[in-house]
Amino acid sequence: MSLDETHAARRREDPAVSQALRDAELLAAYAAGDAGAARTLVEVQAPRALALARRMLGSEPEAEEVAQEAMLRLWRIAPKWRAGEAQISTWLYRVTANLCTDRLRRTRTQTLPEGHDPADESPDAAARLMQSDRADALSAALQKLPERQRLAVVLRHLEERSNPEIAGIMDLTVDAVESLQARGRRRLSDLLAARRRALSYKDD
Amino acid sequence: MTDSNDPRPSELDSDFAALRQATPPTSPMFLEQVMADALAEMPTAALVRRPRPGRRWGGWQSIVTLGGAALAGLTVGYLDPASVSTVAGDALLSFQGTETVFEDPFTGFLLESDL
Repeated sequence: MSLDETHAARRREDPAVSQALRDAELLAAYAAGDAGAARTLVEVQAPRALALARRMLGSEPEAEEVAQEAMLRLWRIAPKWRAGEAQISTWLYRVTANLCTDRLRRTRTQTLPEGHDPADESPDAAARLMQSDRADALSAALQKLPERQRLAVVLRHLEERSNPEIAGIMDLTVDAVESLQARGRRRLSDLLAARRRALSYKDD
Repeated sequence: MTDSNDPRPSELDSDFAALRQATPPTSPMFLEQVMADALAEMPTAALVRRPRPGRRWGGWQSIVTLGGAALAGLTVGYLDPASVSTVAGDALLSFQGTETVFEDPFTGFLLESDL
């Protein structure tokens, strides 16, 4: 086995790389007319775009529009996609983030509809209510962050992407991404602490 | 996903975990819209086209046609040029012999009517 083949084999063993290769193969299959490949890409990629758009825009209908537009751009670029140049997920997050930024600059945001019941794994209703309350509070606090901080925090802590990937999505250095996240977290902590204090005064 | 720079990481990380769990599921209608876009945008060159009956060309028909043309070419090449000119000359003579066929019928009409 040559050195190049060894490197290629090692790269394929990396779950992230093998996933990226699978995604690129699916996109190539779609470009060749495979509807099944399109279905798999829709099921894997569209929820990612939608999740980011939800967190950035705070509005479900707007998030769906943005995610649909981002996916439309993916379909259109499919015949020209060159495997190995970029990961599809990174490209899609970047397009979604840019579309969200454009929309945020054009329109005022609305708050995300609340009241969604998470999967019922909690031991009791009180714990569920508390968890839902914490999620709602953080969701509201996220909307108060500046766009870049929000994007860096959402990608890291909600979408669970690595900082090098986030740097690629945001076209920044890893240091700059970490700085945005640190400031974002500090601001969120302050906002949530202020809210808790306000609630405890109300309870008293 | 904790951050060592954060003064209160554990509490905030619990909030992030709560928000991750509270993420609503993706609506099937949204996924169907995205799928419809995918099918509408699928490159047309990739679509399989069925040939229409009676309009097919190629395969054995083209081989027969090419073979026939090649045979005709060989025959013309093999024939003595003199015999070819005889055939051509006969054809020309027969054409000249039929020139009255092309007489203008209107002339006869004029002669008969003394106009």
